[in-house]
Amino acid sequence: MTRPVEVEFTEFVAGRGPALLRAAYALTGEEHAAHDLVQTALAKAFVRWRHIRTGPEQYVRRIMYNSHISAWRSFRRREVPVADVPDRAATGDAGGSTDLRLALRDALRRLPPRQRAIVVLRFLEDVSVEETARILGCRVGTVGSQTSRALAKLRAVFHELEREAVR
Amino acid sequence: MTDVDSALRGAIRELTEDVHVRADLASTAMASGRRLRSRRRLRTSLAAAVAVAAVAVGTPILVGRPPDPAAGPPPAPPRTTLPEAPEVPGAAELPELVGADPGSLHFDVDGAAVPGLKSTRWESTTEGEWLFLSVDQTRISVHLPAPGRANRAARTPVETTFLAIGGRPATLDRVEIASPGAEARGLWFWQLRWKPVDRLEVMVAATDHSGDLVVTVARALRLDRAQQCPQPVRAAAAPVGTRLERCSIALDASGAWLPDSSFSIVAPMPLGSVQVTVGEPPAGRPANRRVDGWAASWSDESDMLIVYDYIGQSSLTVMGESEETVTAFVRGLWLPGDPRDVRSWSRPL
Repeated sequence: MTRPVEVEFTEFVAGRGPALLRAAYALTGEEHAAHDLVQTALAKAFVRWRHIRTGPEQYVRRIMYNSHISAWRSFRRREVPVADVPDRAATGDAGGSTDLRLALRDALRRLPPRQRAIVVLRFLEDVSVEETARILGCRVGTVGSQTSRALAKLRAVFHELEREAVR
Repeated sequence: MTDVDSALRGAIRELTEDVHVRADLASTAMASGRRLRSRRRLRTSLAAAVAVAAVAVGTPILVGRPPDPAAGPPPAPPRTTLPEAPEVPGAAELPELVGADPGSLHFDVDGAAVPGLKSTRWESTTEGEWLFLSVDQTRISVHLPAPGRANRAARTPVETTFLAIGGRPATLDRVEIASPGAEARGLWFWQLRWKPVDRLEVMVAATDHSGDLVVTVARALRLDRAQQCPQPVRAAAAPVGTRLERCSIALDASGAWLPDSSFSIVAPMPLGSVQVTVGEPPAGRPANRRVDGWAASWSDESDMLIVYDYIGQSSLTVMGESEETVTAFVRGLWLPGDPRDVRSWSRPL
């Protein structure tokens, strides 16, 4: 006997919601935006729940990542007003992990959306290069080249922090 | 994997550890999904009805068809950066107009008075009007908020200088930047605020070594001029009741299109909200259909239609409610002038 869609869906969200939300937070850098992104992807998945052939998590993830990239395109014309100065970082702790986390968050935000999506898929979600390419609808070679570029930018943040630490 | 890569992996995971799922995520997603399904059903039935009605009355379809150049008035000599908005007052004359019509910008900048100017990006919305300038390696923003939408104050400045812009008192604030290493590089956030006339506030801001550039840009602003926000395409066949929400265009220092421009409209259903971009298409989306002979790509997941090489090598990207409505919308677009000459274009709606 087929279980009601609502029951299946609620169980799915309870089980996989936290992982999806973490990925969304890494993508957007803001908790409200992350919830909006996940909820939008889940709503679209719910509409087609019975017709999803590839597995719901893969389906939701694909919608989420592509929606993020599309949304960025539609809003990027509104460049972040220069006046929106980010809050000052909290006083650095002994290990510098707070500074590192804030610096990384800022560096992630500065990455182009596709590079950011690739970094989150590869480094947070441990998704293979091939699966990353499938989710984002691009070639495997593109994933490789974009990963290299993103990592080069993020490494620069680390090295800058290291240099500051020894000053 | 290097030590840095390992540290990155750990830091990204640590970054997301404190995020918690709201208890109502599943129920709100289901509710949104049900609304989405209802809207899609309604759209499908309305689209069918509209299509039948259009055939019955012989609605003309205008695709990339510029008007007869001989029919228009002779071009006026350039006075403004963008095509002039004739008979529209500037912000200084009527501050209430700022943000009232996203098809217009109620100010201009004298580019010749800003040495090193590389490009400008103009944006008009119902919330206000913006200009972003690239000058050498520095980005400067100019913001005129719509009435009732005051500029948000930045954090407490470490220093405030009082000066005059156009004979009116202005304040130049120097503010600390949270970005790592900014202070060591001598970078500060500078914001210049003043009221050129009552009921109009202007803010010019930049991250730079000194406040000289924001003062230069402020003095180069022309608040007595109004311009159109031109677009390479015009939504001539949009239904009655459609309104423009946002319009943006970027030019290089010579006034040529970069090319990157966009606008958003809100139309009665079934068309609904539509975002249009002409410029570089999103990557990784191969053509999967044709729209009136153009190679195109439709994505169900992002509700986005890309029409490749629509104007030269620039593609048309349209996000909307469904493939049917977006495709019909694209078929109703036409080119308002010479695709190579911004000054021959007009507002999108």
